[in-house]
Amino acid sequence: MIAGLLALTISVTSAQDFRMRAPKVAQLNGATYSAADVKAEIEFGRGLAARILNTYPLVGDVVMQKYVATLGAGLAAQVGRPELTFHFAVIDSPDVNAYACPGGYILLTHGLVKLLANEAELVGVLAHEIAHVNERHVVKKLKLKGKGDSAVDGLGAMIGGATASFRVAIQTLSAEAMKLLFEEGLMASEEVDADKIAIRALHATGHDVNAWVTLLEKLRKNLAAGQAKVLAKTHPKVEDRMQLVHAYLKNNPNAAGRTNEQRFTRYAHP
Amino acid sequence: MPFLLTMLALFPAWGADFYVKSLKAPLLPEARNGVPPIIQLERGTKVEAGKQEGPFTAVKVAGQSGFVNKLFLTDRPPEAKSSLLKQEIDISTKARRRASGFTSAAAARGLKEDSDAIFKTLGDDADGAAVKKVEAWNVAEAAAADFLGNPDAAIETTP
Repeated sequence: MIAGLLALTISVTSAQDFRMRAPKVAQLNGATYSAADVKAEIEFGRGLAARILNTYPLVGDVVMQKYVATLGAGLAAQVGRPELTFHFAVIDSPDVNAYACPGGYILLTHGLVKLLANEAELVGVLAHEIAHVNERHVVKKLKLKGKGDSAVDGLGAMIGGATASFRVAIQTLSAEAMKLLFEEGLMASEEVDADKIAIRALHATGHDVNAWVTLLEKLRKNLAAGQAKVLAKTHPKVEDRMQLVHAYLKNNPNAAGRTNEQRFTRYAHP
Repeated sequence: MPFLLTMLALFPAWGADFYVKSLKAPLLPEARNGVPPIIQLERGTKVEAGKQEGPFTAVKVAGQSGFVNKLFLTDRPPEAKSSLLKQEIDISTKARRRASGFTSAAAARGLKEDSDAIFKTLGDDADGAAVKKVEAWNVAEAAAADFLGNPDAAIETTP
């Protein structure tokens, strides 16, 4: 008991100390990006989310929105980049898709939420999108940086910049990001990486990994029926995605967990 | 030689330092879910890592040993929350101090009026008010993590 309390005290102290040790402007996660880059990423992602919401308004069901926001924030606290505050919402679109904006702004279509059967499937979707943010897929594709001399490198200074050329540069980048999310999609390897993290996140948080199988089966049926066309265009084949999860389940036969169907139905499918 | 290999297989090569990245990470007595944790490790806790067992990593921390899902670990100290303020502020600690589980994300992030600059730049193409609405639905990390882990937890349904 005493040893346990001692261990608890030490671990809490370590947790409090780490922020003091972290430099104010540090190169983060393998010296690939700086604190200035993170700030620029958040601002750009915030603007991108605003563009999406200008096209697809928020679903009016506030209870469902708070449920998705709470679940997403909990998942992000566990598997998201600690330096970001993630935000989640459901947009009024019949498409079956989800969009991960830089900085942690994640938007799910109502069509996707309607397709889901339980909380584990929703957690899988949220984790997949969090993975895109964690891995900075859009940021890397658009080569966004907080400080620098070129148009793209100097994003931090350009946002809110007074000159017309700054505004045009930001608008152009934002339009490119929209095209990437809604038409071109990310690279197949990036989607596979996001799937891998989603599967591991389901397991790590005690949710049923089989939920990823049931969700992919529904997507396959949707695609066969000629629906979810954009998702089909921007994501790898369902069969390839299915192989990933089956391989994980084979190696981890104890990956079954909770589905929380009751809570999901109460809040998301009232 | 076989004896040496057997010993290496039985006893992990301890020594690599890792840090807890997640808000909380259960230190489990076995490399599987569903067993009561020895202790909950907090974000930033330094652990000594050993061998891998599937998705779990053997760790030693504060005189105890067990297993942590490697998704919860990182090889360098996790960074504090970023904000759009020019001044660096660790808002995660402040958010946890709030009595209510639900908190204004904008307030928690310390957003200023001028943080709307991106919306002004994008003009009529952007719905900044909708983004602020989404940010206002945000929940403090600790409350949200509890919700994720507890299937019986409810959300505040007052609009």
